[in-house]
Parts: sequence; structure tokens; C-alpha cells
Amino acid sequence: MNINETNQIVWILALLAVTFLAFYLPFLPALQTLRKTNQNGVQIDQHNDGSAGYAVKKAAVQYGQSHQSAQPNLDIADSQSVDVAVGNVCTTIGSRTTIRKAAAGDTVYVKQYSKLPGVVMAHQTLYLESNCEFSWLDAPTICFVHVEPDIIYLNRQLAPVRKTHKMTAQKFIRYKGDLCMKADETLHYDYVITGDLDVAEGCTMTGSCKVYGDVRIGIGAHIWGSVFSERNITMAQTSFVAGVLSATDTILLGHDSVVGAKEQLSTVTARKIFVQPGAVVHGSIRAIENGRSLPLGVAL
Amino acid sequence: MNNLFSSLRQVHAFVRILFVAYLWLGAGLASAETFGLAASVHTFIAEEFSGVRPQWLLAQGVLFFIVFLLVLYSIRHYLFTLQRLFGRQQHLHSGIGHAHWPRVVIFVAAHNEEQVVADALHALLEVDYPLDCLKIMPVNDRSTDRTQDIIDKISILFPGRIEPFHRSGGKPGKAAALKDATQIVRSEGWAEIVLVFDADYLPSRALIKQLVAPFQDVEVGAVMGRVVPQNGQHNLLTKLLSLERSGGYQVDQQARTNIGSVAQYGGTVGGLRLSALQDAGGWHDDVLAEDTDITFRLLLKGWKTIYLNEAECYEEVPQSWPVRSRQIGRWAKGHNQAFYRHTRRLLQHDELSTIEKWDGFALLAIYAMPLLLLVGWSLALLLFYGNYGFALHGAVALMLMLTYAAFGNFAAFYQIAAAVTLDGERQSLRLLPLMMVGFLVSMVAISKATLELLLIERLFKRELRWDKTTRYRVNTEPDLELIPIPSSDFIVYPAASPAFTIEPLKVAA
Repeated sequence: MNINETNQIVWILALLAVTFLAFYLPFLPALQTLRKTNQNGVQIDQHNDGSAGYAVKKAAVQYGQSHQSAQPNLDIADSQSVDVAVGNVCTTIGSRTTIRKAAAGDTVYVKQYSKLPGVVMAHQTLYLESNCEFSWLDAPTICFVHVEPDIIYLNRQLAPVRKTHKMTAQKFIRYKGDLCMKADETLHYDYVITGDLDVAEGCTMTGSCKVYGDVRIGIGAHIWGSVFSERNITMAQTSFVAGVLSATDTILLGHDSVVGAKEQLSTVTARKIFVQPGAVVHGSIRAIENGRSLPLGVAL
Repeated sequence: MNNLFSSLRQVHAFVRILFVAYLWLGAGLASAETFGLAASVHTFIAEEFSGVRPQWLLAQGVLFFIVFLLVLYSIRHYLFTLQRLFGRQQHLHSGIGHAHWPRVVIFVAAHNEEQVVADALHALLEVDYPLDCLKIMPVNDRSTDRTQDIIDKISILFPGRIEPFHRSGGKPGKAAALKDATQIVRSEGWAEIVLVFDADYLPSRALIKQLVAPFQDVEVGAVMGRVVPQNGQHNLLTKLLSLERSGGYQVDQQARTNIGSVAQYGGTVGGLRLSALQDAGGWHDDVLAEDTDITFRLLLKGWKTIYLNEAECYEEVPQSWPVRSRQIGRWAKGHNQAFYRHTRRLLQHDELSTIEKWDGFALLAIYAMPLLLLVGWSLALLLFYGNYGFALHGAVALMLMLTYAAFGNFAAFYQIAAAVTLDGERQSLRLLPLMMVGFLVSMVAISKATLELLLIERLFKRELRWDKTTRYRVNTEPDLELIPIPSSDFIVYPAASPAFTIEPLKVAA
């Protein structure tokens, strides 16, 4: 056997060794993991209905405060940081307080500068003062107020509410470009708008719309359907949307604007949500990144 | 303590960097391997075939084309992975908890499903949705076992909520059965939305609202949820399928939704707007993959399909290789049928965006790739062995083939690695090398099915046959006494009042 032949054999052996290591070694942990089998399958949590109620219950159990043992009225003092706050009747969260996981009660009052990264749910009404940060709010009525004396807002007569329209059987109308409605105009049918939508003052839409640009809903405009936007939605003061309000980026709810109705709850969801005092949402608000109640006087 | 947290954060950041580096390495390897093979073949041809014969040139050309397609697919899947990990996520249709809930009929497609149908119906009876807006319709398609008895027994206990549809004749297949069931729903005016589940699926309580919520968007024609294997830890095959599903849904489908491409309606754990279905021409009963077919028909008519990652439902995946081969073979035939029918119209459509057209095309063509891959391997071997015949080159060719299996076509490694990370199940990453086994089996089954489709349907004009997937869940006679009655939850919101009168079902069994 000469030197060349020896070299060739060494090279072949080296290549085989590298191949063996490269292909066999990763299989060792794989085969080890393979031995662990579970014949019973995954356990499915059949109680999880995805609601705020379930999230509160789960957090309350996890952090040792059951709903049944909760106090009738719960007052969390100012500048506290708590995991769970569940009161049976009224829960008041002091200013500059942080609720990390969940808060609930028949009525929940959140004072200004509070931070609510968890879920906050009320069986009846949830009041939120200005400058609060929130993530997930859920109640038949969510009222944004400036400070406590503004409670007068809550007793005002809201716009008369009727049921949302039935889901239409026909196909939507595709509108290419920007759609600007004139003041007091009325539009029927469902729309898909490839540009921006500008609903002028006093306009009425009796269908839902999907908009690829920005949506501006003017003062006193009414939309009896849902609004989806791939960008931003701005609701001016006293405007009203009966259905779901969802945007990819930001939603701004103006002073005295209303979303949903007590008889027909709705949802507001976006990456960022900013709300002026006086706005009312019936249903839930979910901010993916950041939700904030604005102080009085901050212009949209 | 703060120091400890700081250190942990640093370690976490380092692990993330390693993970990203691993992904980049994966992409580099994939490209290197595919381009490397191309370069080596090119050099080989240039050196050895100076007086080359035309058939060798043709072989070289075909091989280059296949390698080019593989590179494109690798890049596509790699970009999906990066998008899912670091890109902006679409959430326009998520998190809708309250809305005006439309009337819904849930189809439970069943053909000889005595082992599983009772579980599916029990789970559906428990879901959180206004009762007056929901009907469950088991679509019993010519079952010869006890499926009909079980459905009837349960439906007696819940009059008005379960409306069984027993189909005793007609064309076989899921699409044909759904077509008949949809006709009943439409003629009776029962619903605006239909949801479709297979009989082995176990929906969670929140699922129906999650799936129906996107229909508030008027442009949405179909919605698809995420399928999670319920028996995913049973054996090697189910573990591999569990990984494959993770990659497919958590990364692939979600990334396609995020970038505005074509999310696919998967035929189960999903729903359709009846008006959209009608607009697209209804169910076609001559297709094996009615889901892919309807996805593209909706797209061509201007409707969107939405994928919702959080809408999870649990299914039973095949536990034996022959069953898996048959299942994926059926999918391949159906998918390739859709490829044949829709490609031209898709690419010529004026209204669709460029990404919808080309990614839609890539999605349609994905089940044609395994056959091409097989052809590519054969050609590579032919080119190597035909001229050198030296064992070392054979080993190199073999290694390249295996690397193709890992990185080529479905780019399983990136997507699955990212998916298990997002799911928080990094332990399953260890199984990744074994994915090669599953890939090879699938490749052979898909290639066989594609050839069958070409020969049977195109040459002999024979009708394709529907293969039923075997079920494994052990279920005895359902104990009807133990069927739970849905109870009120922590908080009950007022449900939408009925806007219609429910008429009794007039369908002959």
C-alpha cells in the first residue's frame, strides 16, 4: 500500500466519521425525546370561553382571591400595586394604582393615572378617569370620565339605540380610491373602500365597511354596522358606531362618542386606543399594545 | 436579585441571537446546497460533456429548473419564518368578544364516525354562542356503522339545537355531502354563516365566537382556525405530524395572513359566509380538496380568507404510516386538481395584488413539488453515476439528497423551529432530525398520488375516489345520561334576540 492509497483511505474514513457525527449526533436527543409518549392526549380546558369573565376567574384562583370570598365593596388605596382586585358590588381603584392581572365587580371605578395591564371587568358599569393606561376592559357600559364630578355624564341620555342591521345577503360594493361623504348624506349597503373613508358631519351609513386607508367619522355621524380599517380610525365627538370597531394601528374615540349599545354589545380593538372623556363603549375594549384615556382638552 | 434578573435577561438575549444565527445559517445552508449542486452539476457537465449529447443537455436543463424552484421555495418559507418571528402581526380580526352574532349552522361531516362523533357533538353543545343563533347539523354521509344511531340519540335530547342530516345516496365525498347540506340551510334560511368541522374534532368553548367574529368584516368570505393534534404525543408519527402542523399553522398560515397573501381555508375548523359561497359557485362535488378549491374560487371573486391563530381546535392525526400516506395522497390529488383548474385564472386576474397572485401560485403548486424533487434526485444520480461510478460521489449525491429533504421544498426546519419556539414547546425541537423520515414518506405518497392523478384523471378520465381517514379514539356506546347540559358562566350578557322563526327540519333520513 503506497502513500497515496493510505491518504485516500484516511480521507474516506475522515469523511465517513464527519458524516456519521453530522447525521447521527442530532438523532440522539431526538430518540431520547421519542421514548416519552403520552397515550392520553392533550387535556383541553373546556371552561375557557375566551371571555373576560373567564380571565378574571382564572387570575382570581391563581392569586388566591376567589370571587365568592370577595368583599362587597373593595377600595384599593392610591399608589398601590396589586395582582387581583375583585369586589362583589363596587370596586374602586385609587389613583396611580397598578392592577397587574385582573379587577372585577358589579361597578368598577378606576381613578386617574392608574395602570391596568390585566383585564378589568364590570358586570354593570366601568368608569375610567383620564390618564389611565389599559389593555382589556369589558362591561356592558364603559364610561370614560375626566374626574369624579363628571359622573353627571353618566346619567345623560345617550343617543337612541336600535339593533344593528342584519348581515346582508348581497355582496359588498367595492369602491376604488377615497370615499368622502357629504354632510347629512346617507349611504346604504356594505362597502369595501380601497382608499380613505371620510364620513362627514351628520352622515348616516346603514351598513358595514372595510377600509384599507384611514377612517374619519365626523361629528354626529352614525354608522349602523361595523367598521374595519387597515390603518387608523378617528371618531369625532357625538358620533356613533353600532357594530365592531377594529383598526390595525390606532383608534381615537372622541368626546361623547358611543360604540355599541346596552342591548347589543360591541368591541373596540386596535394596536393603540386613545379615548377622550365622555366616550362610552358598550362591550369590550382591547388594546394590543397601548390603551390610554386622554385628559380633557387634548385635541384629536 | 436585580443582578440575577439582569443576567437572565442577558442570557435570554444571547439565546435569541443564537436562534437568529441558527436561522440565518439554515438559510445559508439551503442556498449553498441548492446552488452548490447546481454549480457542481454545471462544472461536471462542462468538463465531461464537451461533445455532449442532446439528452444530457435536456437532463441538465431540467435539473437546473428544479433546483431553481427549490431555491424559490426555500426563500419563500424562510421569509415567512422571519416575518412571523420579527415582523408586524395582523390582529384586525382578533379579540372581538362582543358583536352582533349572526345565525350560524355548524356542519359536522361524518362518514362512519361511530368512534368520535359523540365527542364532537358534546363539545359543540358546550360552546359559548347565543343558543338561538346556533344550529348543529351532523352531515352523516352514507355511514354504515352506528353513526346514525348515535347522532339521533343525542339530537333527541337537544331538540332544535341539533338538526341531523342523514344522507343515504348521491355522490360520495365530503364536498358532495356539504353541497346537499348547504342547499338545505339555504332553502330553510337558517343561517348567514356555515362552519365546518370533521367528526374527530374537539372545539373549545370559545372557538365558535372566535371563528364567527371575522365575518363582521364585510370582505371576509372564509375563516380558518388552527388545528392542533389531540393525540400528538402518541408515537413517532403523531409527534412528527404535530411538529408539521405547528410549522404549517403557527408560521406559514399566520405569515401569509400578515403579509396580505392567500390564507388557506382548510376544510375544517373554519367557516364560510353563505353569500360568498354562493357567489363563488357553491361546493364543487367533483374535487377531492374542496377546501383549496373554494379558497381560490373565493379569492378570484374578491373575497378574503382569514386565518386566526388563536382559534384552536383539536383533531386526531393518523397513528400509522399507511393511513398517513393515504391521507396526504388524497390531499395531494385534491390540491393538484385545484392547481390545474385555477392557476391560469389566478395569474391573469386583474384585481388581485402581485403578492396574492404569485404566492397564491406557489401555494397551489406546492403539492407538485415532491414529484419534481423525485425527478431531480433521479437526474442528479443519473448524472453522477452515469459517468463516474465512484462510490464517493454517490455518497456526496446521497448527502445532497438528504440535505434537500431537510432544507428544500417545504423548508421544514426553519418553520418548525420558529413555531415550537412561539408555542413555548422547545423540547420538541429535539425531534427535528427525525422530520426527514416523515418528509420522505410524504414525498413518496404525494408523488404517487400526483402520478395517479395525471394517469387516472387526465388520461383515462376516471373519477377520483374519496379515502376515509381511520380513527383511533376508543369510544364505547355514548352514555346519554352523562351528556352535560350547558350551564351559565360567571357573567351572562344579553344574547341577541331571535330575528327569525325556526322551522322544523323537513329532511328525509
